[in-house]
Amino acid sequence: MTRAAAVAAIAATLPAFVPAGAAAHAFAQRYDLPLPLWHYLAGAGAAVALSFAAIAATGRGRPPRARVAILRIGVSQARLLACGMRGFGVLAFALLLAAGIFGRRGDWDSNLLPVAVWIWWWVGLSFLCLVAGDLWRLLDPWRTLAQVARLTAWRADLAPAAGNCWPAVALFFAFSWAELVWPANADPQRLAALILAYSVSAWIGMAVIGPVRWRRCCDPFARFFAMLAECAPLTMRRVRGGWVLLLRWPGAGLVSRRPPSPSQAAFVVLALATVGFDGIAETGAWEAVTGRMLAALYASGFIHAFGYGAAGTLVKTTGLALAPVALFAAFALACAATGRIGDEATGRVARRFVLSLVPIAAGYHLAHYLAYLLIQGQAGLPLLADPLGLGWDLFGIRGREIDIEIIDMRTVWLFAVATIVAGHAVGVALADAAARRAYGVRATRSQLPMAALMVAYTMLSLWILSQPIVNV
Amino acid sequence: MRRRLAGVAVAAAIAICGTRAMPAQDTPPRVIEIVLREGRASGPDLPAPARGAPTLRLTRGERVELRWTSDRTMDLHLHGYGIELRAAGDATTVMAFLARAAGRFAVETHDRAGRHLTVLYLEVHPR
Repeated sequence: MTRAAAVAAIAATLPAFVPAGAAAHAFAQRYDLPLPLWHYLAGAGAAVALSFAAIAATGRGRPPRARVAILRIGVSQARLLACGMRGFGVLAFALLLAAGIFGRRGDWDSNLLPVAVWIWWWVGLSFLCLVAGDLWRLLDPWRTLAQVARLTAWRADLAPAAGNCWPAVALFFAFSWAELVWPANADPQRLAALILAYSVSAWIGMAVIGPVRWRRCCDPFARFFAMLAECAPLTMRRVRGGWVLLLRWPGAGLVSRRPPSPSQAAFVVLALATVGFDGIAETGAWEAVTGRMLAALYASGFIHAFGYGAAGTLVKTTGLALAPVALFAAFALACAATGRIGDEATGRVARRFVLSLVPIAAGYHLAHYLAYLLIQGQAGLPLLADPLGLGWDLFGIRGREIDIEIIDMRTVWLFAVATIVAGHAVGVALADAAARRAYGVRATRSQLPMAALMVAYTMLSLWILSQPIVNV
Repeated sequence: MRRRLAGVAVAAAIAICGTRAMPAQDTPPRVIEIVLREGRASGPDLPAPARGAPTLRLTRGERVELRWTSDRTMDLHLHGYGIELRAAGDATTVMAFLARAAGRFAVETHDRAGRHLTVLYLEVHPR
């Protein structure tokens, strides 16, 4: 039932995907300089050194449980804060939809909705969740409105089993396609139509199987932001008398007693691969591949029949579909080797170790998008002065220009290497702890394949950042 | 020891301030001639890439003048710095600016189908 709901959600939005006559404008570009060689080498060297250190270290594989309480808030204060965030989420949702439907159309930075969705929400909120925990849980307008409407499960028996989140996997792929490939994703009215279609499907799904089960099995955003929040050094815990804000080791939230189910592991692999493909799609290597594929499509008559736009979309969709396959193949290879040493089935090994890849992707995500968020994110500020295109000038910022000097390139480079190396350190520590817990005596040898995979993954992240950006 | 620390602190402060300092107003701008032929940029200062648009390397703080000559009328848009002008077949158009921010910025044009084509990349490197 929920799978049908997911398919219906995607099908209902198909008319919005038909490209307009003139090919769409490119969305915001990144202005990052390629990472210089010695930054790349320092990062790669640090990654290799950290991997060796982790393997050589001794220990019983218990992840560090140290937690420091920073702030305590009472129940009523927490309730107020939560209400405030929920209200903000719903109001922002409504305002953005109105801006998309009624606001100006034109370039990618003519309307508040695309800027707010693709930069402030998808990138900005992911940064916040990586630091401060699962803020989306409170900001989620679909959840809040479902609670306000008191949606309870009408047919809870139709929900997928507890560990089954394949609908979320499918919806996340569809969303990644909209983010990375869909040529019209900067068109505010089409984007608003897509959001409305998804909202209706989500509320129907929540009405049928209940909001909690929907968010666990079918909601790709809830799963994605929760995954990022597990890397965060800050988290809230319910205690007697209120809530406490805890500081913990980054990635400590990824250590769980139960290994993820196959579909949960697949979700992680898909999310990591799409984050990486976003960067690969801007490299000269991908431009060369695209050129060859377009030439082949031209020769086969596809372009004559359907046009360059459709051909470009097809090529990029193929890349987006192959990225998780490639990551899964590399990961499965490492897991098979680990399983042979540790005497465990490849599938079980994969589920045991998949979460230790998340910090590496998180580090890359921070490195890749910091300058983009700070520079292109400013494009939304003048749009706040007149979200509905009525000629207002709220806050007096209507004519505000983007300040491209806001962050120095050297700072960006240092930050990039620092977050990638930190992500690698956390990932290696998690994999080490998991191996020691599982394989005991054979832990040292068993870590070699996974360490090799992680070093390769980190090198790929550094390589992507060292490539000159090509606007395909 | 304390004097050495103070010296290091002063040097660091100067280095940090120095990265923001701009050159004097009277240094002549760097002039780069670019010829656009059928949407492809070439010029004496530009490397000839195997594929795609060439990359011009600049240093942050330089005054730059790009002189464009084109065989077709095209609208050129320098991203980041937000400079837009029209390169016509008969005259040389000039993009003059101070390369105040480091980064990799594309100069794009639109073809008839509305697709963006990058003709040149400007890489402004930190000093």
